[in-house]
Amino acid sequence: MKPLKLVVSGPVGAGKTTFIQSLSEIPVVETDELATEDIGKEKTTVALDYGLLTLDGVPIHLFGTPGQERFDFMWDVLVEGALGLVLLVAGDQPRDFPKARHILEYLTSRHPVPFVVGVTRQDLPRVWTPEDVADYFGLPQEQVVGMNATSPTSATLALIRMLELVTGERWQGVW
Amino acid sequence: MAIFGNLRDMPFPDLVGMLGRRSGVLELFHLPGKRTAFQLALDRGQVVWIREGSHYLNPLEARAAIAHLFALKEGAFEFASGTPPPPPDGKLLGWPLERLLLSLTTVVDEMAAYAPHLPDPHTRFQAASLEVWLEEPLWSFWERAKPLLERGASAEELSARLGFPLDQVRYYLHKLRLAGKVAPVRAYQERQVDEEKKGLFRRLLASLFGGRR
Repeated sequence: MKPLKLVVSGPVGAGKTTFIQSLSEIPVVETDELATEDIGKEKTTVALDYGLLTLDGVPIHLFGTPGQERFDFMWDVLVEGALGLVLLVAGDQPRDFPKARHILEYLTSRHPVPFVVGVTRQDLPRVWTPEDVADYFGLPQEQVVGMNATSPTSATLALIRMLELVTGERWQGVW
Repeated sequence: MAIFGNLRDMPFPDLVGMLGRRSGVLELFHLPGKRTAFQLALDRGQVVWIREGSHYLNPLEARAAIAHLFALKEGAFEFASGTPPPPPDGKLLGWPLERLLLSLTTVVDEMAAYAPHLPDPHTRFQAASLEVWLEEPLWSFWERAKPLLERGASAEELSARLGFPLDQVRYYLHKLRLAGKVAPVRAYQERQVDEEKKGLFRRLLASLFGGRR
């Protein structure tokens, strides 16, 4: 069997590295460097983040893409042949939505990869709901999930939703 | 007396604005990235026809050419006064120059305003509705692009196949998208998921639930 990979993408600060840390059973390999432009944080991913999740003995390689546009040449490399794509966007940062939609449409129109959109920071009081973000992205509501990237349960539920969309079967007692 | 110079010193909108109601043929040549020259036939405030090399442009091509010239910062020009020769059948534009300049200014402003939101040149779009009503120039673009959009095409591909500047194609796609006429392709939905992959995903799901269903 070919190695399976799950790609996590989204704008800067969406929670990609945290999401991978939540799912990975090994310490996440990060390629953080000091940000060379004002992106709201001191360091950012420049090449990729890497983690590993094993399900039923099957290793799933978790790759996080860099958020800054200047590293967008990495997107195609990482998404090629992926099992699925999780696109994260911070629900309290609507200014990042156009960028997130740009990334999603670029990737999903070119690569036959199943995907879900995760709207992070749902624990904050002032945040867009997944339903509203689905309308903005022009996606069915079941393809957009609310989450808190720091919660392993939340990250797992996003993964479950993506697998459900492919199998076309809803697993009971989860949602 | 000749009217000649370079767009570097006299931008295209200023030049045609100055030509105003004169009649004659404006030739633009030595344009960056173009081997061919453009000729614009003007007659008392109207654009009668436009030619690129020996090819008379249809309205959509002509509009794209004007928009291209509008943005150029380099290129020689020369205006020959006199009543321009008539174009071949079906190639008469008859556009009021003043209105054309105003509408192009609007388009250029819109393109600048939309710039951060225009789709990536490689993002593929497909027709979401084939029954459409649109205003010009969007309608003409739609008519030309429809066969390609029915099966899915990117701005880059449309630009190459239709011969329009890439930024204009991105702008038209954005406008068509806002009007609900096109939507991004979801490549995943174009393919049937094979049973083997579904089986694998079920196995992964079962593992996530610890075998519980």
